[in-house]
Amino acid sequence: MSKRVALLDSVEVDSVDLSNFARSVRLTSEHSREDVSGFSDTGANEYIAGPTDQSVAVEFFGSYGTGEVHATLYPIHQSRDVVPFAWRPDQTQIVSATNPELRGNVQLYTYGPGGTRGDVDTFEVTFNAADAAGLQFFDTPLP
Amino acid sequence: MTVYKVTAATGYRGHKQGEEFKADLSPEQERRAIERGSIKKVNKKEGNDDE
Repeated sequence: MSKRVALLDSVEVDSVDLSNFARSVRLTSEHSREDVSGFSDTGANEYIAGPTDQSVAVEFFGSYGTGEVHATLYPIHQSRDVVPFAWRPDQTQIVSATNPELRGNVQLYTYGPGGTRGDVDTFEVTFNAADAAGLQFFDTPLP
Repeated sequence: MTVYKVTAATGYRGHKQGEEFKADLSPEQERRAIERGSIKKVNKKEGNDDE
C-alpha cells in the first residue's frame, strides 16, 4: 500500500461496525525501558525492553441510536467486559499483507462522552489490551 | 448453533442488517448484542422471530 489518506478505515468494537461513527484511530504499543546499567569503562547506560503496554485511542462521534456508539461502549465499560477490537486501513478490501488488521481483546476503563453547544459531538476513548495476546496486526482474515 | 438475525444498521460480526447467521456466542456476547439491539434470536422451527 502506498501513501494514503485515511478515509476507508474499518473500526469494529465487540463485533459491531462503528466505522462510520469514528474519525481517528491511534495505536500505542510501548515496551518499558529497563535500566540494567552496570559499572563500565564508558559510563554509558544499558537498557533492555520490559513489559509491553498497548492501547488504541479512537475518536468517536457521539451517537445514541440502537447498536451505535453509546449502546456499544457504555455496557462494556459498565460491566468491565473484555471484548474484541479490530481496525484495518481499508474496509472495502479483505485483510491482507497490504491491508493488515489490528486485532485483540480490550477493556474500556474510562468512558466520557459529553457535548458542547453548537459543536459536533465527538469524544475519545482508549481501549486497553486486556490479555496476554495483546493487540497484533494480522494479514489474514478471521476464519 | 443458534440462529440470529442482525437488527442494527451497524451490523454484527461482519453480517449486515437483516441477515441471518448461525453462531455459538458466549452468554456474555449474546447478552450484550441483544441488549444493545444488534441481534435477535430466530426460532427456525416456528419460522418466526423470537421477540
